[in-house]
Amino acid sequence: MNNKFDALKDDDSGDHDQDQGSQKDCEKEKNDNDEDNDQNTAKKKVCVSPKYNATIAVPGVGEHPLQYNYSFWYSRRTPGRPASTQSYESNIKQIGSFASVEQFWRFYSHMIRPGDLTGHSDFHLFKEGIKPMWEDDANKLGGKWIIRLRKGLASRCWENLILAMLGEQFMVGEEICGAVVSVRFQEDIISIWNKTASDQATITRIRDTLRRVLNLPPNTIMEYKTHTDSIKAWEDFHGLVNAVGGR
Amino acid sequence: LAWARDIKVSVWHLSEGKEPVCRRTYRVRMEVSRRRILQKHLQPARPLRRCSTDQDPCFRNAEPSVCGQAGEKTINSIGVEQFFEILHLQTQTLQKDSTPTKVRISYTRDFLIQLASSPIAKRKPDFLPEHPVVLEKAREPGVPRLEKRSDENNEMFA
Repeated sequence: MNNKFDALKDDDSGDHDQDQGSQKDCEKEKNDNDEDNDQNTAKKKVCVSPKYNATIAVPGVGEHPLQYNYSFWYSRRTPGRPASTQSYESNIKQIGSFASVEQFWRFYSHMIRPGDLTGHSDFHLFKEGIKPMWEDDANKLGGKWIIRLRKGLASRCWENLILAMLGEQFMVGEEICGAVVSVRFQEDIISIWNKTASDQATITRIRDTLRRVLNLPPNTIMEYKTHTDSIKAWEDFHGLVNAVGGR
Repeated sequence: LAWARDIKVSVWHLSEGKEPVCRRTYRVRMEVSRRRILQKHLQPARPLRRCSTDQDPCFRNAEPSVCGQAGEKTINSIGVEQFFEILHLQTQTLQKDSTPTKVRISYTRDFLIQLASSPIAKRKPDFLPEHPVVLEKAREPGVPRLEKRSDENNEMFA
């Protein structure tokens, strides 16, 4: 029993707190929005849905373009309610997408720092078109590097992590999917997700870049976890809770 | 025909041991997509010289039926399709080095932070949902002093 709880704890970063049913609902809504968006391709800045904000970001005149467009997401577990009854939609929210360095700063400077977040919450910064979910096509064969931080360091580490990602400092081609900062009770966790968990060269390079850009001391513990393991741990945990009857 | 442009296609005579000779030049009207490819490569017949000169004997040995013929008899004309094939090969080789999509847009941390202080980087985005994590006014760039100080001691990681 302890082992299963430990497994969940290890995985305590990212987006595993949603129940499956409402994830599907959410996917459906997203698809609907995509269709709307296709009809509006002529107008680039149409805001299709305030919830999803599915606009296609383009760099403004004179701005510094990024290699990829990215989206900010925010999620929070409502205190006192078990994870399984939450709707995914109320749990994860897309803040907005950007295509240039300037647009990034506009969003970033209008959001509170992760160090000032309270409760069980996450910021996600993912390439546009990749949802911060294990099940997304870009993520399902992937995994993530996890670094646990003591309280008080999240804001600075998060900033360094996302600046390295936006500035293409990882040099692993198309492999990077996104980054997450998870604010938890006694610690904060930052992680970076990549597409192919079996690609050793990529994973090693991401680790080394992380050490460099975050200026990590050599003894820092870094763990790599595949999303398949994360899904399994999540299912085991919920299976366990169901069996005991306490959802 | 505003999108068309005339180009010249030359036919070269090749014979072994001699410089290639230009026999005929045709004027060809191209549509714009072809024109784009051609603009950079208006010395087209060059690659065929490989067949007639002795600088690559291995190549000649490997392809005796093609090069031997070229050497002995001479090629009187090149089909337009063949001509484009040669150009296409050249274009592909060039694109490997020069196409923008192959260039990775990378920025250092310092450069990105510099850009944070430009006025446009401080404007509120046009579409920003109302949300507890969203601020009305941009906060100052950088990390609060308290966090910076804790960064200086060595026990930073949990």
